[in-house]
Amino acid sequence: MNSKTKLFSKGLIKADLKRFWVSGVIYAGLIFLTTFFALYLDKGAHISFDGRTYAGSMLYSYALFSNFSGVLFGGILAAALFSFLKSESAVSFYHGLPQSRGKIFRSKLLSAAALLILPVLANAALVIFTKICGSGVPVRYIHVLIWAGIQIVYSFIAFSLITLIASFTGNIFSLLLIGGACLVAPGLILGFLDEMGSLYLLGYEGNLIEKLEYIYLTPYIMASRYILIYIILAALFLLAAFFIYKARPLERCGEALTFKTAKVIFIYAAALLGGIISYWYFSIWFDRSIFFMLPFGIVSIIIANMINQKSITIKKAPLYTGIFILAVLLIYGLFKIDFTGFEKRMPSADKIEGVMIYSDNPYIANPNDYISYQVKGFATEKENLPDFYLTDKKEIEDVLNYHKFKIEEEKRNGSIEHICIEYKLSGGKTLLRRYSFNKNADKEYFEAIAGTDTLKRQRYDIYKNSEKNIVSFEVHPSSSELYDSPYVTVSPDSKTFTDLYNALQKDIENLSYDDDASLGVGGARATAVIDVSGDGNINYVKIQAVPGILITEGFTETNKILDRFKFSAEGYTPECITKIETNGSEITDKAQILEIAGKVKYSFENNLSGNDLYYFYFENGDSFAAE
Amino acid sequence: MIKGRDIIKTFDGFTALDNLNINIEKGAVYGLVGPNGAGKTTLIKILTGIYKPDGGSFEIDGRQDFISEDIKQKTVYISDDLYFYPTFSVKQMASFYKDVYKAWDDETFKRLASLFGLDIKRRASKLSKGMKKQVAFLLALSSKPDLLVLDEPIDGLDPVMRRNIMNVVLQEVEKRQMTVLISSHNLRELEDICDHVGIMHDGKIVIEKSLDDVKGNIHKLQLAFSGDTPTDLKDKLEILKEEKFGSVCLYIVRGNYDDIKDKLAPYKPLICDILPLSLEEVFIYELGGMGYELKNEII
Repeated sequence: MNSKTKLFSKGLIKADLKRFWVSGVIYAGLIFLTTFFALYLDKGAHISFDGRTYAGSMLYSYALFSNFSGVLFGGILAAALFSFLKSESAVSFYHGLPQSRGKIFRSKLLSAAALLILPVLANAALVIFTKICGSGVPVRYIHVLIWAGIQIVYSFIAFSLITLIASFTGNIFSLLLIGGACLVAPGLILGFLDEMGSLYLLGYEGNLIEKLEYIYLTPYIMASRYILIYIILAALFLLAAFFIYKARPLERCGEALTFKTAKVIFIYAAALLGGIISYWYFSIWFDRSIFFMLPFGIVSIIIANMINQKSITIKKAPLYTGIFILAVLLIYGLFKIDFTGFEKRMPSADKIEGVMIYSDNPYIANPNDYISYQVKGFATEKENLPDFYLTDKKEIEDVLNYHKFKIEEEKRNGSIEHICIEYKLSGGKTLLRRYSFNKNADKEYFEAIAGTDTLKRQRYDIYKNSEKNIVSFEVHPSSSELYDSPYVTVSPDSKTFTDLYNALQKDIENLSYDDDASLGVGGARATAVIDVSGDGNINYVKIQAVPGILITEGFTETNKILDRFKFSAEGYTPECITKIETNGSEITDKAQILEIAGKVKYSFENNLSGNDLYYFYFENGDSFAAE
Repeated sequence: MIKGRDIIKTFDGFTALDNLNINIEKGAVYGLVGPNGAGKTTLIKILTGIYKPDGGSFEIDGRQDFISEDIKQKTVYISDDLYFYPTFSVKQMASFYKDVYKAWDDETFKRLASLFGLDIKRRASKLSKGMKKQVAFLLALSSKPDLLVLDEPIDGLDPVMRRNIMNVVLQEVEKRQMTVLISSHNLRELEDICDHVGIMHDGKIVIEKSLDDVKGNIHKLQLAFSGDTPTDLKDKLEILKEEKFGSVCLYIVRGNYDDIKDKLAPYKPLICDILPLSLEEVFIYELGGMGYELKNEII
């Protein structure tokens, strides 16, 4: 690599590798801990489900640690490689060398690439090598490479962001300050915008959590096609850093910001962050208002202005403050007059391809008992929320009428439940609105929608689902807490299992609006695990899904089955119990059986049972477990 | 070899270089002197491609792209505030310079390391200030530059090492026509090694001449007359400073020896000593005429 004609400087790259190889080795060691634990030490923890072993899943689970170390290492490496920009003597040294700024930057980049990529590849090679050598590690090669790719992207994103910040900051303090602000600012700003939307815009739903996932790069996002966007973003950061570095006035080394124009940006960035913190602080004590941005926002302007001027002064601060107050007033005004027509906007029926109705808060209406059940199967959506779109013309018309009612109602608050209306429009567009939900007040417009087959399947994913997909039932009494209650489990091989399944199908089908306690309950949420040892595609596996059904009086058939657990149904009286097993011992003595069964019979009400499990075996071959 | 025309550089409204012009001949040892804040280091950092000028142009060997890599290959800059990679030994720094400077010469490195008595295995950043300077010269001279730019180069060096280093530098000038630009406040040292001087003041080079011309164009006169000092004498001489001790007048006068002697002859002074000034005295008196005076105030 001749320094005159080549893109990179051999000398600079060699020097950086000599200086930082130890940190690269430490990084490789951190990753090694991940792969080592994931694949060799923790074999027993590999997830088995549906007859398959998700060994690679553990690689991904532990990868959270290596991902984090990748982000950390990427950021630190960027700060270290470009630390020369923060010292006048180092600036003179580097830029006095016969290397153009472009070459210095590119060489630093190549050094970083080596230090970020080689430790990951070494680990990936180690896993593949041990697999070839017959270690029996149940992991596919492709998934090791995917894991390595994600790891590298994580570290590069952090590297590129810190490099960008390093390119326009003049000292380590401002690099750390702005780096830290960049870390929290997106979350703060998005959260604030979401808050403003919900405060001032009727029907606003911001999908904040989903947006935050995109900003903070959760493994879901990184293991999807969106990773390409982040790769492009990282490349753009580096490109911007390159041009900023080339234009950087080196004599401003030591200043907080090396470009004068950045000073104004710095002041208003400080004002925005200070204003947001101010808003949240005062909103704890008073009714929410955008004007709570002003106190700390103005303080931030004054402080930032002092930092810019390197002096305890308020010179220019009144002007900056005035502009800030005007901006807040303007934003408030725009919200109040619904400048964009957001609140009244409704799609025309001919452009609606489908509409999904869901809620984010459960509605509980004095249920007698609730039934929870586990469902197995694969889902395509990342949150295991299948697409339950209403597509029938009449159904869409009903939704539009309901939507219109909610707009005219203009009810912003007053209910803890909310209902979301998500239209899928032609051209791939969507329109999402969220309103407060009141079961009684909304009945006239919502009853028809709630009664559709689609929405019933959405609310009760057992409904019209195959019995084979149900893993088990648990019956919980209504008087107890969810996680600390005596309950009865019903296993799939018992007769009651099928009876309960059939009864629920029938009851849900015939359930009236008033008896339906699930209105407002969203779809089943499940723990999602990335499948990496399947067919090579990354799927989201639905496991441990534990939906609940609130059993009201309208569940007439189901309630008949539940009577068995109180030993009142035919064939399920204490006299029909042939054997009880508890704590490893077996009780067949009739008197003892009746005594225990007598206690358990009332245990739901009296909460007698504690943690002892009793298994009741009936004459008809059925068995229940009760606590 | 080096021509700077109308160089302008401002920092936050402060004009550090104000339409500065400079000429340095090839093979010259050019001393850049001036009061603190005159703009010497700024000029050097522009010349070495560290700072970008706001206006004006530089030419090195007739080329305006003076910050191009091939031009910078022939330039080595020893800054006042030296930097070495914190973990690198002198040997590792040498290896780095070898990779960066194509004209690097191992033989020179070995010879100079031996001459300076440096332990090249020691970490460069941990050495004393004077030894760091030695290392900087060692690396710079081994890179075989055509232009060596030095900012306060002898600060921290002991007198023997100062002589040793300057001796080596002058040998390189003699052997290879290396050009040297030295910025220093130690005018006594500069006087020994420079052949050209540029005096900077308020962002400009106010005097730029060969050292002989500079020194030959300003003299100290000690005069005594039989009667009063002739009144028209002051009109004939370009006097920068005058003092009187009894009947002896002391003048700092601009002009060459012969001219001054000719102008004094008609007055037949009883005592007439025409003495050359040291560079330091030239600096003080020249700048004194530009508003940068020596102030003998008791505080």
